[in-house]
Amino acid sequence: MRNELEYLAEIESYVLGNMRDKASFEQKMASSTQLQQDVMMLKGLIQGIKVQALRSEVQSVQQSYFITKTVSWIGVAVVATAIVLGLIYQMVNKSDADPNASNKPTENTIHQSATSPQKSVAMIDTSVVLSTKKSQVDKQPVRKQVPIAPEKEIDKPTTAIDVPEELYQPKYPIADSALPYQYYQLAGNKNEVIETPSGIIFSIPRNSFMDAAGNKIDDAYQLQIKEAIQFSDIMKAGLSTWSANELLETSGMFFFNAIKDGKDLRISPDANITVSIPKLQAANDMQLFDGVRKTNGEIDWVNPQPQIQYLQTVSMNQLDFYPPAFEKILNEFSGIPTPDIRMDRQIRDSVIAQDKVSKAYADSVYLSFAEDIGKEKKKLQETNNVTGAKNKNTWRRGGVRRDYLGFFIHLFARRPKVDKYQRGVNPITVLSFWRTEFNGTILATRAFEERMKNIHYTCNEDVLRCYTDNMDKTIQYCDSLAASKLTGVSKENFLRFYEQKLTLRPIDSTSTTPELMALFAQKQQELNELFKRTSLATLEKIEQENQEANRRTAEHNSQESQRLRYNNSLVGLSRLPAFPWPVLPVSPVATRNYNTFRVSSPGWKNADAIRLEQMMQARTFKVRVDSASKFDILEAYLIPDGQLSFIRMTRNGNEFTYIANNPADYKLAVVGYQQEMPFTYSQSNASSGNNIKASLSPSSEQEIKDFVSAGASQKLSDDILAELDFLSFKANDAKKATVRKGIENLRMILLPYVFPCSQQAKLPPEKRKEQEKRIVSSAAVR
Amino acid sequence: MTDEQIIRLFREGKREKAFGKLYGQWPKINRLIRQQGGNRDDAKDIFQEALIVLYNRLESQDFILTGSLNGFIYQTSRNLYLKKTKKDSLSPVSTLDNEYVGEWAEEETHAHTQTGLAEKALEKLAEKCREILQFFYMEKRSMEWIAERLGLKSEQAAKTQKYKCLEVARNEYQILLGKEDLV
Repeated sequence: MRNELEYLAEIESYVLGNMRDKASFEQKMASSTQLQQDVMMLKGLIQGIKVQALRSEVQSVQQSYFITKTVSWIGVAVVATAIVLGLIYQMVNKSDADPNASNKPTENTIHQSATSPQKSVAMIDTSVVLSTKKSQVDKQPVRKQVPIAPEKEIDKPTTAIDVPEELYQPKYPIADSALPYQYYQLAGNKNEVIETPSGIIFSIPRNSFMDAAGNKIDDAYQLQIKEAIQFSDIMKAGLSTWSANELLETSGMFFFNAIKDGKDLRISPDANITVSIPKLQAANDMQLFDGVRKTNGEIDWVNPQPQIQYLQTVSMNQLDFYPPAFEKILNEFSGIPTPDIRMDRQIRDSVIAQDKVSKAYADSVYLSFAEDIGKEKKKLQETNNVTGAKNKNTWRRGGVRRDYLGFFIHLFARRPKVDKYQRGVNPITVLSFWRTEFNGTILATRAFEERMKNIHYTCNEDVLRCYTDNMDKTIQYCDSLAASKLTGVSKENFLRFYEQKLTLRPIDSTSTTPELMALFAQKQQELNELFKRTSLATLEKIEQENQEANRRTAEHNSQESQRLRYNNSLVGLSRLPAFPWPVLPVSPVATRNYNTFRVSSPGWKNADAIRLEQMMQARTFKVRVDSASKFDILEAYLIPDGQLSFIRMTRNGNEFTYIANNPADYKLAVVGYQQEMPFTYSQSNASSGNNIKASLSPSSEQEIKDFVSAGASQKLSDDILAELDFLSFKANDAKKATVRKGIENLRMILLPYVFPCSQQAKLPPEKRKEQEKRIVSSAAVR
Repeated sequence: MTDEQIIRLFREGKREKAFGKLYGQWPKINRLIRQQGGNRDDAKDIFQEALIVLYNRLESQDFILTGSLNGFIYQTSRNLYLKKTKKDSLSPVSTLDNEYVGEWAEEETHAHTQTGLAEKALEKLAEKCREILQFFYMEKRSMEWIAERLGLKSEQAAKTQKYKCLEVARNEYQILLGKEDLV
């Protein structure tokens, strides 16, 4: 039984996809029909379990559906019957109506109205301040300044409301002096916006203040602020919530004053200073009262002003116009693993700041997608760099060449087809207005931020134009225009926006509109040019690099084949105990000679020569390199004394080997590059047989060159130096390719977010997650 | 409510609400089954099955919405009914009112009928067994949770109990499959 259960558990873990060693199970399955059947059966059973559960759910939904239907029909029937009966009753009663009957409803009304004050009193008991004030302010929206009344003349309200003593008794006449001043240093020639700790926002346009002589302040001045927003603060500070004899419902109190050189400043008559106070109450009829100090030090609140009805704008810096989730994904994947961990760090260092990417970086990544919208693209013939294999199918998207790794990702990741051109909002357009110059326009609002998210989903830049081209109009006007350009769900969304009736304008938006429109156009042009310039320069640079890489690889290959031929010829020759070594490379095509023997019996014969003595000379050189994996490039060379060619040892993991068939002495040089930094290990008279443990240490390229070329012939020295140059070039190229790969991977992940109408974006979320994982993991495994 | 919204409800696990929305299709399906010669109870059963088929389809990994959900339900109901009455093989989709053109409704109908036997096998299980299996496979509850809920001694006890139930169900299923082969 126990075995049976374990057997089931194993099948279950396979069916649920939890099995670790899936491959071996599948192998087992391939050879056992019973196991296949059992797997099928378990799958069927699990499906059956789900269907059973679903059936009971659907049944309960069905039941409630029919019950609701029945009840609503009964309801309709009851109402209809009631109406009919009511009509019949009225008709019957009309004939024998009582003359006094008409008074009855009136009595009823009187009774109701008599009870309503009681009701409101009961309600007022818990919220005294709100109701009292509200009714009084409604009746008298504008109040004249009232004469200052002595303390004792302040009466209790005449209503029967039980008002707490401290609310109307000014116990601490000048207690507001206990509130600390906040000081802000501001510039007179700038538009300033400040937010206090309690969240009051002062918006002060330039030149808002003037001195006693009437000169506008054009340089630094200070703003003094005191605030009491919380009710407890107000109480503690002894500030009253009374206006003459009326109780006020407060949303907060503040004191503000501008000073320069210790002297108070006045507000210019044409200044447009606004203050926004956090809404603590739901009330919409808040007014701003001026505080007047009474002789007893207490403050009375007079001269109420209604709120201004402007569209609330925020700073462009606080808004997010990227495609939804763009920034999140960018942050999440900016550290996307590139071929291996040290390269990952490299990318972070070279292009990405800290944990959260900077706006400038995010902008530049976003801008790079402009090309996917472009009309014309310069076709770049894909060539390979030294680190890559030949590949004609390499695909490219964006301004960055795909290197060999991209090719493998393409090959193995089975990515869906990438649309050649994307339909969507051009990043250039977005970045052209997402600038502080556009503060104060309808674009610098939370409302537009919300719309922008939807605009990205429409993939239709014309919709964005409805707003950017109409900065002088209201948001509602733009909403209607946008809705007219759309169909389906998007249209519904914009109609819903239209229903919000945002008909207010931001302060002073219209006066600067032509200027801003010109700036918008100018910025678009600038960004377009910048983009073209940068992408063209990038493409050209890459092409140049590719050509250079190809040239150097070809050159290196030809040198290498020459060297190999030479080394091979040495191996062949070494079988003969002949000295000296030839001074020139020998052609591998030798003329054919014959060894002729006499045969005197049938059977197997073997033409051979005894080479014991020479074979004894074969020596194995083995070098084991410490932490070999941390080097991007690692090579070990043997440089024979008195020869013209050097030997590159065969690498296997962290071990290099070479079997030498000649008796020469060898110098050993191990060269590694880590992020372009050279490391070396050298040994003058390398010993064969035992493992040489090579621990590389930082070095300069010159040191390596000096070591390997010391005592070598001119030709050997030149060859080795060329080889080392090539190594260094290769290290550099590998680094560049990795950085590009990282950026390109990131772009691949971001693409569906930037272009919500692209094919990749249409994949279900889990598929997309899978794809992201694939990109990340394929980059991590080389 | 749009198809996308309904799919979202399913994905968020708000199945009952989503099914509720889809019940708006009932009059249409009722009419369809009546036209095909079925009665109201047939229509109820068929509609129920069609909703289950739809859910299974939505749950599958490779699901991409190519037609409308209503179209899918309509076509599936029709196929299920035809299959039930064994009148015909699965009907072509050409007779549909432009709403839905696709083939998966047919595949799903076929796959769905296969689970019928498994369900029959599960019906033979004790109530507690069925509960354990549903909690685990449908609601994806942990064994710890299940043990506590069903008053079992430990997580391990619940696990053993689950496998025993599965074993019984498997044997029943095997018998039913054998009978099916004989038929």
